[in-house]
Amino acid sequence: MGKIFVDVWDVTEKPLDAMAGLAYVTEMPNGAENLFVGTVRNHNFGKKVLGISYDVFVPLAKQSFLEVCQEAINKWGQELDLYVVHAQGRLDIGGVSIVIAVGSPHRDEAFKACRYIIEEIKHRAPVWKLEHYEDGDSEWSKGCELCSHNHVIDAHNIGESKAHIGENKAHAHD
Amino acid sequence: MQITVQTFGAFRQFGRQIILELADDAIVSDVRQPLVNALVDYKAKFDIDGLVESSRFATETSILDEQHRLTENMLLTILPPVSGG
Repeated sequence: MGKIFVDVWDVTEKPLDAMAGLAYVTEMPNGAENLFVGTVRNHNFGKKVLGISYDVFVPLAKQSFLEVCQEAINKWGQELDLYVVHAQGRLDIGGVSIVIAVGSPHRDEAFKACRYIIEEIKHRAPVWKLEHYEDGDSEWSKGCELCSHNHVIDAHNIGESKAHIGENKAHAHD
Repeated sequence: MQITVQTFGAFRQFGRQIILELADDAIVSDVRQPLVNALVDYKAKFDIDGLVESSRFATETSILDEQHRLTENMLLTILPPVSGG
């Protein structure tokens, strides 16, 4: 039986640590550890970005992380060790916004579960990005409408899947 | 009855929370128009009406169905479209 750790960290007090995530999921029964690190890039839609402020509804966000992790376990096995930490607060370019680590006995499950978790979090977690631009302007990112339907991702074709939201509107994120 | 709407994302510019007066038998879908009315005098870089329409309402533990019955002094959170990760 694997274990799950989810949290939201105020980055002004505690920066995210990818190696901590990796350490959490590195266990004796695991032969594969998959690590996803989201970082702030210096551009978006042609505008130069200086940083991003992350706003998070923490209790519901943590619950959504847990739900997504449980779904991954249901799909790819009880042995998975899972670690998800999301940033709250302002990050400069290169700052780490999310760390997802998955440990599994085998690599296929580790890759698929990690991909599933980041895609679902992007569509379901109550997190909002305020982008700060070089020209002094700031703008909230256009995001995904939340819906009452669960998103459908084909567990067997995760690499080619599209997330569906609302009335079958499909879209992709960077 | 009175309810409080906690704000996140683009709605932060209107303050941390907005208090609304609703009918005693109000459901979640009844929150939108009073909320738009409360924000109508604010200037925003976005379409307030459209963003309220595309938002959901939640408690700390769940996203609420549109037919969910509200209760006196309930604390709701408005969730505009999300962009985590």
